[in-house]
Amino acid sequence: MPPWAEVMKSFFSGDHQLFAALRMEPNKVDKDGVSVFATIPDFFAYKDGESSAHPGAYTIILDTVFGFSIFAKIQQPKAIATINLKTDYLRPIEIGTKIICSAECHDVSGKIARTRGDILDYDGRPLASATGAFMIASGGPDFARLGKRQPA
Amino acid sequence: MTQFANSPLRHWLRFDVEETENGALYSISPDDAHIGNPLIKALHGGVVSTFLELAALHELRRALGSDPAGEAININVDYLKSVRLSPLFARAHIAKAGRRLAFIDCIVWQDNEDSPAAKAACSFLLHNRRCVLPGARLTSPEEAAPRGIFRN
Repeated sequence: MPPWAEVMKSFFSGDHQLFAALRMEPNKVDKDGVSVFATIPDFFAYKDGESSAHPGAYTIILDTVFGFSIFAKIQQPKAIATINLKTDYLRPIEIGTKIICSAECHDVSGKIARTRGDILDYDGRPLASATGAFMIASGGPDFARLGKRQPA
Repeated sequence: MTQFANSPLRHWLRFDVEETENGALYSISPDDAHIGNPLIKALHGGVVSTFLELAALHELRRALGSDPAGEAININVDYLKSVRLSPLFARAHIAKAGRRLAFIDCIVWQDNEDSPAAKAACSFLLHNRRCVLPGARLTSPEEAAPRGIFRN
């Protein structure tokens, strides 16, 4: 398994609290794009007693999957940092809904990677779309370290 | 938004609001559940984005004096530096709150308000501002039956 794929496996092994809470599981991983299943957790309920989720859940999922699309594109788990993220909210979402987030890194120029992606529900309706710009080799440690860890 | 006081999302983020002489000061107290990059214990960008959007929505409520019925249209976040696992503060500024649209800018920081860690521009569609005016007439099914993420 290549190092970048080891990193994804490590992230989704349950060690990462946030990704575990979102029940993120990879569906497709290759250079052309990445798709990940996720489920909107209870704590994203915006109002007590209501089932609508705050759309911040979309940005967490999109930012994460964008990162993995960059690893898949450059085939290395380099340190990356989000420069900016623009998210359009297309439809509201209910707590407990299972969604699929697809993303691709469509351009890498020097240290800047550009991504785009969307979130669909199981009926194929678009819930959110986003574009992002990321800095590669942002100065932090490479994520390859995570791939070498043994899952707890 | 009164229901937000006891909402799961508020508890998860440990979101708080304090009135100061310079306006509302919003804060969250992140912990391990909010980490994006475990190697440097940096806060997840999507968590920062969620906080920015909550601050924007609360600022809108302060300005309107009531709970806004509407939905988020989009959010554009610039990440200016890595956000550590320590309290995060935000202020929001309403660029424009019209009858149907509101545009709100926010910044977040950790140590120094003059050194922001991220900034965001949020836009919201307001459904029933006209309804609060005496004698107002509903002009669309959407105004008559508001829907969306932040519906009341």
